[in-house]
Amino acid sequence: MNTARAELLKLATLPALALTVVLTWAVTTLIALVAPDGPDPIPVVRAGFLVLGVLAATSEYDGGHIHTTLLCTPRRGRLQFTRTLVLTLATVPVAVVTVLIAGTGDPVHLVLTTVLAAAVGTLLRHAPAAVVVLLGYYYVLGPFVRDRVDDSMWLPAGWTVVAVLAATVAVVRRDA
Amino acid sequence: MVRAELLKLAGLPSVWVAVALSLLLPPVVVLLNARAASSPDTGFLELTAGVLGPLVLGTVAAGSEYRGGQIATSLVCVPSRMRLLAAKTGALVLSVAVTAAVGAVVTPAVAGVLTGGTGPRIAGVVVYWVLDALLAYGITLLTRSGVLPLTVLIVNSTVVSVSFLLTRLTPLAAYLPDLAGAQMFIEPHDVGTDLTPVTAGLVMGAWVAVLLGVAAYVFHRRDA
Repeated sequence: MNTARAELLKLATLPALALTVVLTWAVTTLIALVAPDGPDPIPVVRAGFLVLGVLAATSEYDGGHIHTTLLCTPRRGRLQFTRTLVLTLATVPVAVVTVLIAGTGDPVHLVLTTVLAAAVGTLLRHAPAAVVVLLGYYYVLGPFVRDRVDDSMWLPAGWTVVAVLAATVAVVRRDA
Repeated sequence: MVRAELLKLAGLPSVWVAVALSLLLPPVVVLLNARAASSPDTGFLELTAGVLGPLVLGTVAAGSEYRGGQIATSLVCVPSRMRLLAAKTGALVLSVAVTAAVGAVVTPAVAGVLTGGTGPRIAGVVVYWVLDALLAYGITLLTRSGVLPLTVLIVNSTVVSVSFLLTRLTPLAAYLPDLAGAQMFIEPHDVGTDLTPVTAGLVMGAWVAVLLGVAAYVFHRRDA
C-alpha cells in the first residue's frame, strides 16, 4: 500500500506529466471546437496518452531515480506490478475527461494505450527513443500497413499484456 | 569545428538508427503498397514517412548535448556560443542533406517512377527533410528535451495532422511550415491554398529562420 501511495505521489507531482495531460486536453478541445462534425480527435490525442505512459515510465531512469526506488522497494516484481496498476488507475480519469471533451472514443482503449506506452518506455529506458518507436508505429508506419493487419479491439489489449509482461521480466532480471 | 560536430553525430547510435529509418522506411512502404493504385505522388508520398529520420537527427543533434551535461564540455572547448551553434547547425544540415539525397533517389527508383523529370521534386524532398530536421533542432534547443518536438512533429507530419485540421478553420493554415513544405514535392490535397514549390520552400524556410533565430538568441543568453 505504501508503494502504491509512493507511486501515485510520483505520478501526481511530475510537472512533465501534468503538462502532457493539460496539452492533451487543450488539443482535444481545439479539435472538437474547430471541426465539430469533422474528423475524430481521438487518433490525434492518442499521442498524448502515448507520451503520458512513456514519461511515467522513463522518469525513473532519468538521473538514476530508479536506484532510490529499488533501494526502498527491493521486490522488483511487486514494484512493477504496483507501478502498472497505479498508472492504469491514474489514467482512467484523464481518459474519461478526454472522451467527454471529444464526445467520442473509448476510455478503455486510451488507458490500454498508456499502459502499453509505459511498458515500452520501461523496456527502452529512454524517453525520446520510446516516443519515436511508439509514434513512428502509430502514426507513420501504422497508416501504411493498417490495411494488412486487423486493427480490432483485442489487438491493443493483447499487445498491452505482452508488453507489460516483457517489461516486468526486464525489470526483474535486468541490472538497474 | 564542423568536423568535431560531425564526429559527435557519427558517434551516436541513435543517429545511425535515424539514417537507417529514413533510408529504409519509405522503400518498405512502397513495396507494401505496391498493389495499390498508383497516383502522381506514388514514390513521393511515401517519402513523408521517411521524414521520421531527419526529425530524430535534428532532435538528437540538439538534445544529446543536454543528456549528462555534455553541453558544459562543449562550451568549454568552444566558448563562442554562436560559433558552436553554427558548427552544429552546419553538421546537421550536411548529414541530413546527404541522407535525404540518397533517400529521395532510392524511393522513387523502387517505386519505378524515377525519370529525368523528377529532379526538381527530388530537390524539394531534400530541402523539405533538411528544413524539417532544423525545425526539430530549433524546438529541441528551446525545450532541451526531445519528447515535445518529436511528439508534435511526428503527429503533425501524418494524415491526422493538426495543421491539416486547421485548414478547415482558416485557409491561412496552408502557410504552416509542415503543410507548406510538403507542397515542394507532392500535390496538395484540398488544403485550400495552392503554393508553387518555390513559394512553399520560401514559406517553410521563413518559419525555420524565425525559429532558429529565437533558438539562437535563447542559446546565447541562457545559462547552459
